[in-house]
Amino acid sequence: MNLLISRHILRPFLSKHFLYNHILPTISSTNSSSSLILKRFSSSSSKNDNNNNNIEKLENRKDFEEKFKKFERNEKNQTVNIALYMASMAVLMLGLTYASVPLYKMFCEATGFDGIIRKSEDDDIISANVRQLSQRTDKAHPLLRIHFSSTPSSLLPWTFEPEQREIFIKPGETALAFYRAKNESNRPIIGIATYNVQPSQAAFYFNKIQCFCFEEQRLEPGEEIDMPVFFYIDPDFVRDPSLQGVHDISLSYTFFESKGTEHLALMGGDPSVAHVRLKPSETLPYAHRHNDKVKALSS
Amino acid sequence: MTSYTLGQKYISPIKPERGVFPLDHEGECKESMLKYMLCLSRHDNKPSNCQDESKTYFQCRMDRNLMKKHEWEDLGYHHEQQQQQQK
Repeated sequence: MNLLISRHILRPFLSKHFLYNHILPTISSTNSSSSLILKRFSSSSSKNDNNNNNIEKLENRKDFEEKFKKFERNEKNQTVNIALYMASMAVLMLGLTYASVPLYKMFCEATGFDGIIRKSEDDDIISANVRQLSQRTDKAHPLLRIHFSSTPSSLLPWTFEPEQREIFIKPGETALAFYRAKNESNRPIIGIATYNVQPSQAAFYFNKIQCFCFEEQRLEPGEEIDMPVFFYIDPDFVRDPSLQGVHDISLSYTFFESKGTEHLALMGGDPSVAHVRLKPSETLPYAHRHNDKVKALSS
Repeated sequence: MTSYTLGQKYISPIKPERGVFPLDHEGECKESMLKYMLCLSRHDNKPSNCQDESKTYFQCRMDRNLMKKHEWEDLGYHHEQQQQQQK
């Protein structure tokens, strides 16, 4: 391997074209001391000889120039080729960066990698799956602990807590759990929830039958609401070798304010005023407090 | 989809498996929910012992059009399991 590489490196040096060694000697030989000697000692020779010599010299020179030009063109072609190759690699990498976002999403949904839940299926398939659950459950398996947690977005003035910290179920059992959310501000807010399951491998087996996520939930000011989650852990969970010692699963929810719809919430969901755009200061969670301050100062 | 997005990106909603529980704005099923929570706390947070209460809750939702009507088997409640619980 090393030999091949060294040969590859040495090849230009070995080529007889390197350094124009095959061309130069013809010039040097004609223009060096030998030619001078020839000139001196043949000064007495006839002028025809001289002319012949000159013609020969000219031809050799032209020949050399042609060969040199060809060599130069090849060199240029090579450098242009290399430059094009590099440019195309750069463009390819840029394209891959853009393509990676949807590709990654597809990969995550297909494999449930890193806590992403599997894509949704047909209603009939789900019902069939749930019906078959009791046959597939391993009754002797120890209980799994499902831990619930919540992370309200810092910009969202909601209190959002799970009603129960943890529940104990067997894989294959359906379970009902609740979260409670309260809108603390005095404007209607539309929120969206997303969730994540840890450990990541377990997310593949986490099947939620119904929940309150991924859809916009609108809460009036001061409204408090109970949100149920209905799910089960697939019985194949016990047969997964990478989940052998796992008895704890963590489900965490996060609520965001739905962007771009703050004005809808403010206008009471009336589509006829959907064109109204709020100023950024009016979309802040505690915009009402700002107004109060202004009133206090002016009055 | 973890909790650390910068909050500026618009999250396009994807439909979950069987859809979303419509919000119970009037709190019509809050009573049965509280009963279920009581049962859970009594039985050491094991929902398998509280199947009756959860059934009541689902029934309440289905009656008030807050949930699509399903058979009990579709929701994972089987007669075998019930008999085992009673034993």
